[in-house]
Amino acid sequence: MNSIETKHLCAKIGDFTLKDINLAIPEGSIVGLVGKNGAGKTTLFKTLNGTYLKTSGEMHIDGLNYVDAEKEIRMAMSVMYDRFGGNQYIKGRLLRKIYLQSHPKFDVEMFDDLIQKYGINLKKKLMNLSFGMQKKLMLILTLSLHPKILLLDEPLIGIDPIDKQEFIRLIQNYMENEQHTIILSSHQVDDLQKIADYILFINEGEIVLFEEKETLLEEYKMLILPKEDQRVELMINPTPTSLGIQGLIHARDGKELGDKVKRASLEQIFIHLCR
Amino acid sequence: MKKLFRFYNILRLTAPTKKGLVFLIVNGIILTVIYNRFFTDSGVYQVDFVLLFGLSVLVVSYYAYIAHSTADNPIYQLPWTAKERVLYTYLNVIFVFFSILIGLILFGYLMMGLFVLLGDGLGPVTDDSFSLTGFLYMLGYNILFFAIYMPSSFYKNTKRRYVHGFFVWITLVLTSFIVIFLLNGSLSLQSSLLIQLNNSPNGLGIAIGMLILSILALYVSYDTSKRLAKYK
Repeated sequence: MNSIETKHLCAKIGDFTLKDINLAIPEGSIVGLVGKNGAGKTTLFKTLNGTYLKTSGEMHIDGLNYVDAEKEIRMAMSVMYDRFGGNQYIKGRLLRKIYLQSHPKFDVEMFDDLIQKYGINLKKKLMNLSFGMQKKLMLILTLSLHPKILLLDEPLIGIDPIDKQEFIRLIQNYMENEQHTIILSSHQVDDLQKIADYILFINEGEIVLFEEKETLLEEYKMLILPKEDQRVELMINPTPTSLGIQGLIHARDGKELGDKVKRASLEQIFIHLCR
Repeated sequence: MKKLFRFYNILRLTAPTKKGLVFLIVNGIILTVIYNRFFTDSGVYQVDFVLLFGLSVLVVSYYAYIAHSTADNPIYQLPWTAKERVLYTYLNVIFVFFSILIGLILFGYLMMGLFVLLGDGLGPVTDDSFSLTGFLYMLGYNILFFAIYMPSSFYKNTKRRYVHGFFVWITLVLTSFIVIFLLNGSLSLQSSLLIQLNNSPNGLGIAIGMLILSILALYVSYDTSKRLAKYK
């Protein structure tokens, strides 16, 4: 079964439009969402979360739709945005109390253990916590809800390298349950390359590609050719460098070039496809 | 008991911002002017418990508007349906009003106690006799205001919100003039509407009518708010 399924989903928010989003995200997968600033990553999350209304198309979360089953979807799915969108004047312990009061799936023991492990001071107001501490608190809060589907918008920004590895491990532990699905957006494409099963590129409100990571890495290669070489035309968004013209190339076009083609990183694929 | 108050979390999770502040201030001023124009005689603008209820509606509506128009507000992490979010917003008005009322009463008693302890005691106490007609009418009036104003919290379109706000004031003013006409046969406001109601043989009937109308309006209001907040 697909955790998230959209067919020709469109949403218009102010001047920005999400256009014709077609997704079928299998249950139990980690999807890395990559896109430039303003590409529509957060807009996509807010549309999937039901807080932005779709203008057309269909959307099913865990087989359910918001019109008939909003409560069930909100129990099954949790979203963590890049910043805390609520009242920054409240203290962490009040946030804990609110979730305990209002969310039946809130695992207060897990929350307390993680808070203690990462040394987050719940007596401080959220605005007095550092950006990294706020992110940690938000991530712990989200994971403590044991959602079936998790949307994480830039979860690792602002977190120090040591804790980043711990958080990646937390996410991987979360994924030990094969029914859990994550969509994780990040500019740190190297992190996504380590953990994602699928890669979703979005640009100007449209999906550029949605592919299994390994297939994507096999499908594209990097190449440098001399300026005069006619095969430069086969490249995707080539750029001049001191060594020649560098660009992305489909693996099928690069077969005859032998050793000249190199394995492309996810970051290189993203840069060339979304330029 | 604690879980009964979870509706209050909509307010706790939402911080006031500049968004909608002008709407709040403008409507607060208009409410104060209209209330004092029709219901007080002194020529001096006053704020009493009745007006406090109206201001509670405005403040809760302001918070609710921010909460419902901010896509990353944490209330959307909670497993509440649109119907529950609307219900909790409505409950918050009553909760906020009674919290302020209790706070003011306690403050009043504290001041009285201080005057007795530290001063020469209390001065002459004025006796405002209770008027059932006035009480019923003001209760109905407040519920009517609550009913017609609250759906504006759930509009995502700012223009529609302002248009709605405009019609709220037109409705309140029209209602007051209709009542004056029913009492006097004319539209002139010679004295406070409450005094006219108390002095009129039809006053009690009109007050009861206002209360019934306001309860019906509340039902329509709640239904409208649910439709506005619901996912389409």
